Parts: sequence; C-alpha cells; structure tokens
Amino acid sequence: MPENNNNDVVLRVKDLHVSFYTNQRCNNVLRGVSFDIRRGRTLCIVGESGCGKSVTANSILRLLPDLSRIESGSITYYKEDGTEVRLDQLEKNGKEMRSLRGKDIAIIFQDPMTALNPVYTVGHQIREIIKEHKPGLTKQQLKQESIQDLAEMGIPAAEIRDGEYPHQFSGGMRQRAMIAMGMSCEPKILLADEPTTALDVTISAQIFDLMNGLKRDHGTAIMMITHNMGVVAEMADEVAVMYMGNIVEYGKVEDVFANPTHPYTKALLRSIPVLGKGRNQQLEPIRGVTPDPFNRPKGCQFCPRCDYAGERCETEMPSEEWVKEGHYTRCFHFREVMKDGK
Amino acid sequence: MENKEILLKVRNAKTYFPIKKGVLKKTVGYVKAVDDISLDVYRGETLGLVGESGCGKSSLGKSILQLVPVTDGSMEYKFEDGYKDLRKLSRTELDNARKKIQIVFQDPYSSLNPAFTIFGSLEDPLIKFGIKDKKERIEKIGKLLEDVNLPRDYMTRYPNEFSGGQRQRIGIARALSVDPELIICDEAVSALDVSIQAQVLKLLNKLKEERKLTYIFITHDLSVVEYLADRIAVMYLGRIVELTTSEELFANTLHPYTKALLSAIPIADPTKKKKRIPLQGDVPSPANPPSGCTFHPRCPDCAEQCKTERPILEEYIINGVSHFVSCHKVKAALEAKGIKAERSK
Ligand SMILES: Nc1ncnc2c1ncn2[C@@H]1O[C@H](COP(=O)(O)OP(=O)(O)OP(=O)(O)O)[C@@H](O)[C@H]1O
Ligand SMILES: Nc1ncnc2c1ncn2[C@@H]1O[C@H](COP(=O)(O)OP(=O)(O)OP(=O)(O)O)[C@@H](O)[C@H]1O
Ligand code: SF4
Ligand SMILES: [Mg+2]
Ligand SMILES: [Mg+2]
Repeated sequence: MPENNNNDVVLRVKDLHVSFYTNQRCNNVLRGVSFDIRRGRTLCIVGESGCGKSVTANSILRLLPDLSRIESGSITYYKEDGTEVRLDQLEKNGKEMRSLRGKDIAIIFQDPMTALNPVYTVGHQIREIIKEHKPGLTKQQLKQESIQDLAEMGIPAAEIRDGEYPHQFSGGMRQRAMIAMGMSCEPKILLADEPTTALDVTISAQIFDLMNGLKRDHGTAIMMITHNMGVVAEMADEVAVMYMGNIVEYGKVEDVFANPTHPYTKALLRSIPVLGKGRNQQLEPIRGVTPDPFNRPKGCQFCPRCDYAGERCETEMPSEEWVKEGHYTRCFHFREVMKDGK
Repeated sequence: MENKEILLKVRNAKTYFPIKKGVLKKTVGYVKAVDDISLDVYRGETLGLVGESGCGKSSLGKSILQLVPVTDGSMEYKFEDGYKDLRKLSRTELDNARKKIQIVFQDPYSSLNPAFTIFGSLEDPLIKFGIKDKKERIEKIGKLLEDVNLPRDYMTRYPNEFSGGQRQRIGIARALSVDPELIICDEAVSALDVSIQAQVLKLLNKLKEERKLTYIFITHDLSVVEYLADRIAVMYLGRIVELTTSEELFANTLHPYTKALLSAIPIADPTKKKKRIPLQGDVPSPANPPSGCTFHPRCPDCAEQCKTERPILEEYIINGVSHFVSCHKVKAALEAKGIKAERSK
C-alpha cells in the first residue's frame, strides 16, 4: 500500500508475517498482510475458513499462542495525542500492552468461551472491564451499567441474567455478553471476530446499530471479520478479501462488490446462496480444495483452483496492483477478470 | 414425504431450568426453555429449526439426547424392535441410542477434548464401532476430513491449533464417523465462509440421499434452512408456532412472528441498504412469559383474545400440504391471502 499518512489512520498493519511452530513444522500463516484501520470507519475482512483472519486480529493485540511468532512487518497504533506505538515491539504481556487492551483496542473473540470465565457471573465480568475504564463508580452504579449493557444487547430480564453464569446462557446470549464486554469501554479500535454468527438477523441489526453508534459518537474504528456477505454489504466502508495468508483484494465495498478484480473474490461472491430459490438452487462452491499449508502452491496461492491461471501464476506470487484509487488486487490477470464482469 | 416413517415422536416435551437465588440457592422460578413441544421427525427428512436467540433450540436438541434433564413429556425413537421413550432408557440402552443419534454442538471447541489429537478423538468411537485395524481407522478419518475440505494430515493436530471454522468442520466429521441415523446439527455451519458452507451443505445432502440420514438442522440462517430443509419448524419462546414444508412456509407464511423473521434478512448488495421491519417491543423472558399468546406484546395483529387465551398448534391442510400454526388470527390471515384451507381432525 502506498504511504498515505492520512491522520485518520489509527492502526496500520504493514507486511505482517506470522508463523506457527507446531509438530516441529513451521506454518507461515500470515504472509505479508497490510491494511489500515481508520477512525470512524469499518473495515470488513472476509475470506476462506482458516485463511488467517483471526490470527490477524489476535496479532494486533498480541494474543497469539506461545508457539507462534511475528516474523516481520509492523503493527502501529496512532494515538490521539499523536504518539505512535509499535504494538509488534511491545512485550506481549507487559504493562503497556495490557493497558491498551480493552481500553484503547478491544476485541470480541470468535469463540465466546475463550473470553468468558466459567466461574464468574456474566455481570461480574462486564463490571471488571467497566471498572478499568471508569474508575470511581460505586458498586450500585457499576451494577446498573452492566445490566444496561446486557439489556442493550437485547437480552431479556437483564437484571436476572446479570447474576447468571456463562453456562446458563444460550449460545447467542454468550456471544452478546462478549460483545457487551468489548463495547463497554468505548474503545478507539474495536476488533470484532465473527461477532454475530450465532445471532438472528433482528438482533444482529440491533447490535450493528450500537456499533455504528460507537463509530459515530466516539469515532471508533471497527475491524470486523465476517463471512456473511449481507453483513459486509451493510456494515463495511472498506472490505479486505483474504486467501491463504494474504489480502488478495482490498477496496471500498461498493467497488469490490460491483467490480471484483480477483478470481477468488468473484468465486466467493458467486457461491452465496440466494434466498427464495429454495432447494432447486445450485450451490456453487469454489472448485478444488484448500491447499495444505505445509504443501503450498509455489506461485499464486489460488492458482490450483483458479479459472484464469496462466503460466506465470504457477511460479510467482503477484504483488499488490492498484486497479483504481483505494482498490487493489493481487492477480496477474485482473484485467481479464474485470472484463468478464461479475 | 411419500412413505412417512416416523423416526422420532416428541410429545409434550418440557425442559425447565430452575432459577436459583440467594445464599440458600432457593428455586424462585423456571426458565421454560422447552415448553410443551410436540412434533414428528420422519426418517430421511431434514427438519429445520429456526427462531430467535434464546428461544430454546439448543435445549430441544439436547433434550432429545437427554443431555439436559427433561422435565416432562416423551420422546419415542424407532429402534429395530419398535418405539422406545428415550427418557426411559437404561444407561447402556442410552449409550447405544447415542450412537444412532449424533449431535454437532453449537460450541465446537468445548466438545473436543483438548488433550487428544483429532485422530485420538475420532478414533475412539470407531474402535467401539468395531473397526479393529488401525490403518483402516486412519483411512476412514482421513477420508472424513477430506470430505469437509480439511487436509488429511490435520488429524495429527490438537483442537486448539484450528481456526473456528475448521473446528466446526471437525465436529461435523466426528458426527458422521459412526454412521448415525439422526444428526442434530446445532448451528453447524455458522462459522463457515459461503464456499465451504456450500461444500458442506452439499455433502450433507448427498449423505442424506445415500444413507437415508435424518437431520434436525438448527440455524438462524434462513437461506441455509431454505436450501436444506424439507420441513421447517419455527420456535418462539420455547414453543413451536409454525411447522410446515419449506416451500409452503415461504409461499404461505401464516404466523406473524414468521413474517417478521422473514422480513429481516440482509442481502449481499451494498447498493441496497435494506430497511427492516423490526419487531416492536422487547424480547420477553422465558422465565416470565407473557400471558395468552406469548408473542402478543410484539404482534402487529394482536387482538383482545390473544392477550388472555393461549393458542394451540393446529394443523391445516393447504393444497394437500400439512401446515401447523398456532395463532388466533390464522383465519383472517388465510382469508386475506385467499387461501383455501381445511382444518385437520
Ligand atoms: N494455535 C494454533 N496453532 C497452530 N496453528 C494454528 C493455531 N491457530 C490457528 N492456526 C492455523 O492458522 C491458520 C489461520 O487460522 P485463523 O484462526 O486465523 O483462521 P480464520 O481465517 O480465522 O478461519 P475461520 O474463518 O475458520 O475462523 C489455520 O490454518 C489454522 O489451522
Ligand atoms: N444449562 C442451563 N441452565 C440454565 N438455563 C439454561 C441452560 N441452558 C439454556 N438455558 C436457558 O434456556 C433458554 C433457551 O436456551 P437455548 O440455548 O436452548 O437457546 P437457543 O434457542 O439455542 O439460543 P441461541 O440461538 O442463542 O443458541 C435460555 O433462556 C437459556 O438461558
Ligand atoms: S494470479 Fe493467476 S492464479 Fe492467481 S488469481 Fe490471478 S489468475 Fe488466478
Ligand atoms: Mg477465525
Ligand atoms: Mg443455541
């Protein structure tokens, strides 16, 4: 991405490489990921299951497991007072990183149970976070806040639920408790990893309204990982499409949906089931299978499954090419892809 | 369904969770997660189960497998030697039943043992199943992983080494591994991207044809359920409010709650920021459900009768198709649409 030192940028990830070392083998999960998160805007990240979306989010907050390493690249957080913090260089569980978590940058995890502690009530866990953010509240006030947070998430009888344990919640309620925890501090950056997978559309809509409220009133920048294209269409300003550890296409949501320039994006958009066609509709999964990360294609990672692939694709990974302002792609044959339309 | 062989007969099932308060943990009330549900599941069908978060979908699934204490009612399953109530089985009988009935849990992580590799977790049921040869087990597990688009040698990995969607697919592979008759899929594809989701849905449909598998498919994603389900049951606050074939439900939506549910689906088109008709009012608590029709405080068609009298789930026959609905205003809804319906029995 070109240097564009727009002061709207609150977080810049540049050429990030992350590897996991398990079973004495090295899995290069992120292979040069770059993007910006901007104040008051929403970036949606979509991509195949296992392509590295959660690892990207967890890298920002330095929450990767022990057997992994940021190999190279940078993650920079631009504070409101103009200082820059290199998150990738901070000590993982040091004081500075801990003080940023939740308060400046909050995360809603994909798996609610990693965030919720089974031995404390849900209300208690929300209050722990509010306490950090708003010291000096009385016990009573804290309780009121946590109850209100749950109620805003559309959880009925929030006074009772506040005193219940995570296992007494339904799947979707657990997810909402976690969203409440992530949002309660009005963070500068909200990283939401598949926040509404267990929620029906009505409640998701209500939660998206709340997120948009944060964005509007506090200038919160949102990075949302989702596989639901309906959600992307509705929430995103920009969208990044990931495949096997790279962002293969990035741009304004209107541009990417109207003019997909990467064969993967195009195939992905084509496999969305359409309501109203019923059982007669032909689902079109992308042909072939996800490559084994330990046995990756040499060139473009999408090559073995791609309808446009040529000789060069087999040996060389394409770099980022600008299609127009704010819209880039990683494909040698993007002109053909564009010419073919959706 | 030409030959309707009933595989599972649920009658007046109730699952109430006690609400405890104070130091003495006195029971002060109940969350009526499943509140008087009756339904039949036919062999070889996919029954979709939809409804808003917290309405009791997972509880119903777990109740069938006796994974939560069921308060009342019966659940008769068709074994080789006839129907038996799952609630009344002995320990060993229940263990056997749980081979025939599999569940893919909503939370895939907590259902995998973190201390075992995937091979370790999936191998056990296969040994019990009688596959003595280790090579054969490796082969079978490898094939299952490939079926859900995971590389074969992922079987040597531990659960925490997987992404959310990968874990979900392992849950599906595990359920399929013991050749069950009935699989309860609880939000089983919710973490998958559209392409892999399509692949898994196709696989499930293929197995259904080949092995006459039966599914109860819990999801909040109506496009998924529309694609997969033969029939759809709509739940609201622990009860079934509408139940009919998938085509009929979308063509002749009768219950006001179902109508609201269908109006709220987002579409993948950024040029159309869609207006939804949100349900008015708050989601009521299953601990203290409203009187009469439990949907009445949020219903646009609510009449006086609805506030006091609880409607029952009644069967209508519309163009030869059975359509269950529980709403006092159903006659008006039918008339407004000009639909001819017969009351069944
Ligand atoms: N703790 C871990 N140890 C080893 N490998 C891991 C670990 N966590 C993730 N991975 C691997 O890293 C890759 C990226 O995982 P990630 O969780 O980022 O995927 P994702 O894009 O979020 O997928 P999903 O949509 O399924 O959640 C996957 O191939 C996964 O197997
Ligand atoms: N083990 C439990 N103890 C106490 N209450 C429970 C328990 N399990 C579920 N409940 C309550 O029962 C009700 C129904 O929960 P259930 O998990 O069946 O909902 P669901 O329809 O699956 O929702 P979701 O779509 O959010 O997963 C909820 O109010 C929930 O809090
Ligand atoms: S670079 Fe080649 S293989 Fe990769 S997506 Fe483009 S055409 Fe397909
Ligand atoms: Mg993930
Ligand atoms: Mg559930």
